[in-house]
Amino acid sequence: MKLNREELQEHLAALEAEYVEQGHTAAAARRLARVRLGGNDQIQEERREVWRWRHLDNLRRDLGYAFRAIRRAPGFAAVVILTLALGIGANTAVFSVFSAALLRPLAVANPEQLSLLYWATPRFPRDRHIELSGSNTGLVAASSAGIHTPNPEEANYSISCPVFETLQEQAARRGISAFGFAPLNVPETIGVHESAIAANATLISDGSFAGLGLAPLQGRFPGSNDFRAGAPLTAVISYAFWTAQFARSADALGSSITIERRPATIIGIAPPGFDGLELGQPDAMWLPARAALQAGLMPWGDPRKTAPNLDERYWWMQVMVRRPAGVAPAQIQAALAPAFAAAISDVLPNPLKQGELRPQLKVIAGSMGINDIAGQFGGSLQLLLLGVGLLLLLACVNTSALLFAHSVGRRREIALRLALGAPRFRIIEQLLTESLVLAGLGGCAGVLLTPIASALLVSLLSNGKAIPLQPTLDWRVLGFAAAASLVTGVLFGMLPAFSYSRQGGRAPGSNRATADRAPLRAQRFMAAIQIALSLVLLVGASLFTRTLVKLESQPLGFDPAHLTTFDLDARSAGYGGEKLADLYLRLQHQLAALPGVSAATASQHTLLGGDSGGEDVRFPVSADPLAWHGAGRNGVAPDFFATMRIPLLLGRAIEDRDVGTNAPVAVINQALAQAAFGGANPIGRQLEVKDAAVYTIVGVAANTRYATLKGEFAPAYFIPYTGTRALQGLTFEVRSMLPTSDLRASIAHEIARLASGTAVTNFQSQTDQDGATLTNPRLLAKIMSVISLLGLLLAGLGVEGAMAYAVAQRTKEIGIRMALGARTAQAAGDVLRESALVTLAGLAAGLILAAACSRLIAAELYGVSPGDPLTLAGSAAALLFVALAAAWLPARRAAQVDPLIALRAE
Amino acid sequence: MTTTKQPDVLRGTLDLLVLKTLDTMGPLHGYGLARRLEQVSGEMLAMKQGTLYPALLRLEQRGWIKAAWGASEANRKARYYWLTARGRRQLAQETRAWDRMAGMIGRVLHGGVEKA
Repeated sequence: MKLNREELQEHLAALEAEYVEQGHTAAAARRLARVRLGGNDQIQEERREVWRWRHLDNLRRDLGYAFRAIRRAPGFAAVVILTLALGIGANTAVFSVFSAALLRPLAVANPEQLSLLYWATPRFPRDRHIELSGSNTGLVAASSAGIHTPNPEEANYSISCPVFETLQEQAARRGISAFGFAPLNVPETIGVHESAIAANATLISDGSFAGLGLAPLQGRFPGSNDFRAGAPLTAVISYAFWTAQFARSADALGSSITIERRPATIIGIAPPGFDGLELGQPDAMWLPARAALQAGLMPWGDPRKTAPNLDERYWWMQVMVRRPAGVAPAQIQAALAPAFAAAISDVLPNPLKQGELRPQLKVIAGSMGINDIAGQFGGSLQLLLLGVGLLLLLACVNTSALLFAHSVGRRREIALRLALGAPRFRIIEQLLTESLVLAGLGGCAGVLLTPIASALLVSLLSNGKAIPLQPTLDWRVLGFAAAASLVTGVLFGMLPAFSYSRQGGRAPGSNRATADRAPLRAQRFMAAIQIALSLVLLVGASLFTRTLVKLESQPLGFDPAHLTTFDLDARSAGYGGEKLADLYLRLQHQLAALPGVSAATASQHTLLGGDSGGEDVRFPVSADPLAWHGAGRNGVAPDFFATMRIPLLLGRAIEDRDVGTNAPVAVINQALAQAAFGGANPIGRQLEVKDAAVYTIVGVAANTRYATLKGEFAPAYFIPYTGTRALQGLTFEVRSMLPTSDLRASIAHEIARLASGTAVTNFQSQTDQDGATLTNPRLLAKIMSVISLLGLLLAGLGVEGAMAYAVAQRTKEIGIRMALGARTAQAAGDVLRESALVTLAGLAAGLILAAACSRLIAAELYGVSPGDPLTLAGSAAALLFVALAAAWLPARRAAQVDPLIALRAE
Repeated sequence: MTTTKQPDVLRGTLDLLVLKTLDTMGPLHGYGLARRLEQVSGEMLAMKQGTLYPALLRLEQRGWIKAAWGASEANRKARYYWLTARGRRQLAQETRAWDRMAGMIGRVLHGGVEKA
């Protein structure tokens, strides 16, 4: 039922007539009639009441009231808003990075319908790899890492081309589209308009773009013609690449670029936002797989010939499927598993043919594509979320106590309103509105802080290298911030609201000499909670810091001080084969001869550089397919061991005469020697590397950290860099007492002289390099330290607030006791004792809470146990100290109470 | 329905005045009702006439008054309101409540308050 407009019109007409009768002009009469009837607004408002829209009105009133309250006490509001902004901002920042790394789906149509295929053998031996074909060209899955799975050790994500084609056909029969992809060597040198750019390219199978549900922004996507044998190489470029290299000009279509010096024609531009299927490795272009293979571009940077890439022994294609609506992942698995089993049975080596070890095809969610970052940083980010969550809780309790103490003056007003008959829920509603407004403002301020904080986080994550992880303020993040603000507002507003509305009609500001005990208890309780939460944060930060220190002081096996490293790939200047090897050797000698440089060398992999190579080896040469040892491999230049200061235990190092030689030699490390030969002398023994080359062991080097700082030293072997694989770029290591920055110019000069046109990348000191393996521990230690310091500050303020409140409430009581002869020291001592009791209670609760959290963080710790007594005791002592220091001011105030003044205030 | 148990003073009074006016005057349209209220209250009820209509709607919803279209004195269309039997009972009840309340307030205002 609603108001009758016609009726109101009639009423207006009658009023108008009345005014005209009184002698007003028609216009005046109309105006007066309007005024008399009341504005539309007024009537509307009344109507809302009738419709029970009262709440909106009340809300508007409460909002106005809240803003007036803020204007009345701007300092108090600023403190509350700032505290909440820190809490909410920290949460939103961590969440935005978390969301970018773990939640954001691919920019394709209906990403939730995508699934990735992988295979696993139920009992895949960890330390030994099984060769799939038994032939020398066979290779176990090229990409075993790179996807976040419950058990990455046992999952492999690539299959051979023929198997893929079988699966694709099988899937198509059921209306499921399947498509394959694999990255080229990352990154490629792309030639555009005469200039060379490093960018990523990915090989794709027919149907990839259709399967992803993408439409070209301009031009076209490759069709079946581009995938047939003999087709010329074409490329679809990303929107970002188009923007950066072609300034979004339409001329890009049809123009020619080179990929590792192979020409290709641009036929299309992908829609903005889509940058490939792997997070953190944005693709600049996509190439039809067969045409790229024929042009000599090999997936995974593997220098094998074209033919093996297409045969069934070489497993390199990653496969994604799009499930039609209503088809469950399990159905896909059921539909494709038999075809997979049948297709691979011919190529499986004996040990894998038997039941238990048979590879099984499985399906996991592919909505985020391949996400290595989730596996790398997911754990740390989750812990950081927990940390900032605790901080926000602490901020909540802190502001709650602040609000509680601040509103002492409000009690009179609220009591009055209750006495006048205001319903209790209206009072609660109004107080909650106020806290929600404060939380909302805090949330807005926090969101403003977020981009800065998340950029800081990403820079810590990327550790100087490029991680193109772009946290944005998308709906997910803003929603999170809004939810956090809402929960915060309710949480910290609840206690004061309920407590005040409960006081009923009790006379406020009573004349009793002793203070009301309930709010005092609440204040103490909230201070104790803050101490407890702060302890948990502090313990976490200390444990992570000790882990970092432990890892940083881990013996490396080489001397990272005074080492400068940089990467160089002279192939881009046209060098290759023997000339390239020769150039590297000459450059090494020239660098060693530079003034201030004591030694120089080069290697394929930087020690602790974050990347590491490995190829299985066996001793002595045997045909046993299970005798392979997993071992790290590094191709090194002469003087490697001397420059890195790795002690040689037996035999000799790799020398100039070994470079390019026909009698390949190897140096193995102690761990490998121990694993393969026990106590026997390995010098002169044979070492067979998986790709068929056989090396003679000439020396044994001491163990060094290779890829990771944790755990035992890993077995590794060193061969001349001219070893089996086609020579590519090298990392050069230069030992000098000169700082890295001072060396830069002279090294650049030397390179320009010997190999002009070659770009130097990753110029840094070895100690910076080592940092890459410490990204997670450092992230946790640094961010948790910041969080815990904020927590400590809040807890200190909390204790100070609670004690100040207690002293203010008991001024009369203290005054009377002083008048009766108590000494000033006693009054101050009482306050300190009380704060100590509150702190001890909080610490006890905090220890229990910390114990509950310890299991969560155990995996991220190294060299220190979660229950480490020293850490616990140290953190507790630090908190006790902070709490007592915080109580010092209120204690002094208590000591300075003048009995005369205190009692006169009666 | 979750209407508040405590209508604010003005609205409660307006409802009562409307019921009483309809009781004494018989069926009236909104305009007439407004004029009558103003006359009786001696312009003290300084209300916008439009606020009458939500009150009428409310009373109608509660079944205390009924309404129908008819013709006004000036021979225009007008909506007339009259009291129902339930409305009459409600009026009697509210009048008694009002008398009690007024008596109490009077005692409080003129007779002094006991200390709490």
